[in-house]
Amino acid sequence: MERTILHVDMNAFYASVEELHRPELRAFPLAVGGDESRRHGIILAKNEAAKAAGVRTGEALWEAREKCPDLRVVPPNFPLYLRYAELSRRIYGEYTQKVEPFGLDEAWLDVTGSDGVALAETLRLRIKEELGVSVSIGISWCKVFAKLGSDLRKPDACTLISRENYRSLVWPLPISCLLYVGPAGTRKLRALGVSTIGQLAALPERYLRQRFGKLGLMLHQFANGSERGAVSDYVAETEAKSVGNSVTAARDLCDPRAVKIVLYSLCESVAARLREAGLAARGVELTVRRRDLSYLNARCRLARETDLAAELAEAGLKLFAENYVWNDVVRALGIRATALQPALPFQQAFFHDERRRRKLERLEKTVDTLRGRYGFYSLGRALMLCDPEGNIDAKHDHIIAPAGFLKSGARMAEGAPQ
Amino acid sequence: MQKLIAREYLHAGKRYVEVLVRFSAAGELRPLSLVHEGRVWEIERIYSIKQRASQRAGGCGLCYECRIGERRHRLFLEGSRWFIEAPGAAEA
Repeated sequence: MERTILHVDMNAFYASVEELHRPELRAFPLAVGGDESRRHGIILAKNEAAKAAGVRTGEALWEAREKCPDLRVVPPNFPLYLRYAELSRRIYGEYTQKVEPFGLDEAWLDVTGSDGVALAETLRLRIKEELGVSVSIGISWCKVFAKLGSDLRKPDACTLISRENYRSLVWPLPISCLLYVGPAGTRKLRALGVSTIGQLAALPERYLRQRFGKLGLMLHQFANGSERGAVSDYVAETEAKSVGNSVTAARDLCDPRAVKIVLYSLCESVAARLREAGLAARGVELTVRRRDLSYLNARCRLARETDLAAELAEAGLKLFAENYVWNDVVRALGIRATALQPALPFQQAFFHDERRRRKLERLEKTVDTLRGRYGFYSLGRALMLCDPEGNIDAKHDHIIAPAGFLKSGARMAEGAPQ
Repeated sequence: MQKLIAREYLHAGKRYVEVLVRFSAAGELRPLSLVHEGRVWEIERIYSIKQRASQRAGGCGLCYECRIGERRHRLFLEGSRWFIEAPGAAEA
């Protein structure tokens, strides 16, 4: 039996929630923006009026204000948005267990067996009445087309992509509309003479596989609506392939010590998360972004698996020292624990460095407990005193991370780090 | 690093109020009375309980449509707080 998949997209989500909660701002072009003083000053979301004035998500606040001098900018309120995400998922859950959230504002629903169009309309009206925000919903037989459907008409609409109309609705669209085709993907396909989804769909599967490997097969399936990706159960956890944290520093990092402080902060979070999940890592990946916005990636394998911040940081700093050339200051840092395996139980301390390791482990686990009870900042490394701003609670701050559509993490090189 | 700051929005249309609530053995909440402008008002009757957004107050929650002092009012449960739509605020 053919599936019925819905893709629900809350329109201009952050901005819509803010508009609801701030009646005094509804008459103005409104955007939700990051903190300029901490160099997160970009547009996160904008309402219809701001969009009409040319304001774009992701651009700098000053750029947006140039286009739209009357723009009102409010800071983000993530706990509030999380609440709305939770409320919306609860509504979806009344109709099906197969709900797959995609970020806070989007979700796929598998409602096979029901009238998709009627259900979509019911959901659209319920969310407007019960939550006060508008949604766009796409209805189709696969996830990719359902998402294209919700993108087609915004805001506040339901769009059916059926076997009868997909050639006329989907195929004329530019390839950049397709999930996981970004600027780099668009360029590569344009070079092959492909600029619409229809043109992509017409290319033989074998040809695409030759050019792009497994991703070529994915492109073929996406363009033809033959992908059979299941809508993951909301309840099922996906197994992590890696655990990482990254941050754009509030101020450029100009010397090794500044880098050390931030790296330790990030490693503390990664290590705490590893311990919480009962995992240990055999690999470490470092990402460094320079002031000129170029990237450096380096990775290494560890002699033995670890879930300790000290060991992750040591490896990260070594990677940094060996690979980074100080011809520019550091703007952002990221560290990722890879090659995960279950953490082994307590071993006998026979060797000296094994004893040291045991001590470190007991220390870090004690820190976990104290932080759990008294808060993250109740204690910290002395190193952090050198630059309190570098001390970050990466584990709890800013936990919004949309799960990847492709569980393996593969994607077309979208200007990926070099 | 951006911290998860919960902000409060205060404007004329939304008034958070103190509410006396009874929990039944089955776990149902019944608001009994609320405090407004220094006075205790009895919630005489509840007409309906429904999840709803309030454009006037700016928010959403479990809406208890009830009779207080011979007039109908809407009392919202937002998480663990209660608010009412303040009279006189313009409907958006």
